[in-house]
Amino acid sequence: MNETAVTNHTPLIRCCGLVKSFGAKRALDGVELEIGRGRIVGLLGPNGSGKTTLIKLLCGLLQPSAGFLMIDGREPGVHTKGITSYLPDRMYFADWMCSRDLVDLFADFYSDFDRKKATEMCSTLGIGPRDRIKSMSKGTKEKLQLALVMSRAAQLYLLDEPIAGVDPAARDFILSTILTNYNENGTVLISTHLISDVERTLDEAVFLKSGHVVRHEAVDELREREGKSVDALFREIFRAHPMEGGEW
Amino acid sequence: MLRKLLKYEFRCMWREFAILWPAALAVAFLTGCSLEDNGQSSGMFSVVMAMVFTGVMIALFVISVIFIIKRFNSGLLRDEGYLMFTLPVTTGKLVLSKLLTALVMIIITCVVGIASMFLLWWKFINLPQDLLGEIFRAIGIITSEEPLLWLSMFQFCVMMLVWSAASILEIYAAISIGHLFQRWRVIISVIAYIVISAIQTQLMALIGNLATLVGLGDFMRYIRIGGGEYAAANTAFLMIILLGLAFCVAYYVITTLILSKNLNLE
Repeated sequence: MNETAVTNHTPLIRCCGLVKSFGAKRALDGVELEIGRGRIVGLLGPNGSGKTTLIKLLCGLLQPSAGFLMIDGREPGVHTKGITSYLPDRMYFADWMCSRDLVDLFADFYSDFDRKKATEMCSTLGIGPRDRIKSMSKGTKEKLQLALVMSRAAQLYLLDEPIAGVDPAARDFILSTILTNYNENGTVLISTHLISDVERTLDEAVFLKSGHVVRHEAVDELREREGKSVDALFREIFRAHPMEGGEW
Repeated sequence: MLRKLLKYEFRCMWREFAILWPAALAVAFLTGCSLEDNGQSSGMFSVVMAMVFTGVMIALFVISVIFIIKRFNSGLLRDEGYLMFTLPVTTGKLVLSKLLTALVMIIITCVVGIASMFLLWWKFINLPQDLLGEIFRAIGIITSEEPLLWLSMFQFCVMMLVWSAASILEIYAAISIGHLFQRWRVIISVIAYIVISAIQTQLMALIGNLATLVGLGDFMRYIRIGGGEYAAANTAFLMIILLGLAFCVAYYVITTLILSKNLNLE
């Protein structure tokens, strides 16, 4: 079996007994997960279910308290950071930079970055090369961040709540940008609790509840077996019971 | 990758100091212009300029310290850290890029400070036409009589550089220790800095006492007798440099270990 075939059969992401604690609180409690290549996967769960923690562990921003995780057969480190494109749930650009600095930075550090695509996307967004980050609106910064992340031909895209806190028109723009620009040989992992907007784009859904993976299936199979949409299933799994101390 | 990190750090440094450095030189020159030929102030203008000059020099020092702290804390441990720690570089290189930029900033600020002093008194300094030539001729005369002077001057510069690096890394280590806690990070960093400084002082005193016990004093006297004052000074410089390097390594290891194993940007 040649190397490419072996590579294509090994999961891109593998989590085994993954635990992450912050003091007494366990954000992830024994996550077992395998995600293949070339998939669009929804990481679904309510607030506080551990989605962002899992994504940060995959990025190398956090270290596991127990268990391990592998990306492309390696622990998070310099190699995995080189093949992973991460969109956090916040602005991570320095105010002193202008958009050209950011494009230069991505081009310098990531061999899979498409400078031409990024420049065209910035132009479409009305962002000039000398525009300062400090002077941009929140929405423009978010779009610039997305444009740079999606201008990479990464093997793994980690998008943490890309459509939270934006209006419906902007959500469509963001999802459209993701679908038209990602590397089709790569995997996109989108964490969100806004299921109805992303459901139609997903190949697989991972349901995370209180730091555990409770369901992980292909979306088509899930709809067929359950006879309902992923959004309806999400509401069922994560139904809040205030009088019984349930989760929101 | 370190070179690429330095490119962005230097860009940021230039944007912070592009106005301040020339402003310091300009204020020094104008203050010098305002002085009378006997070096006294010539009225309200020169008094105001002298105050502005003092203010600019203080601002230069304060902004330099703030730059060192801010570039490390905001650049790595706030939102910008989400970008920096997801770049395909090691934590060690991230810390090293901050350190090298801070050192370059200190060197340039010192040069600006010294140049400001010359500009302040420019009316009263009769510089020869071939200034550099005269300086090198003077050094040549001195070093032909004392060849070890070159080494002394070089080691003095290295010593200043190493101990500046140790001071910067001490700040980084203190901030990293504060980062281990979820709350009160700033206060804990300040306390950590005070404690580290106290430990460093105690360690240096202990090393000094141990050195005396094992006969370092006699060793230095032997070198002075055999090699002269400059030989003894060079040996002393070397020992101080090695001690400074040891502290640099210790603080660097503490910082990179904490940021590699216990990073939590929330």
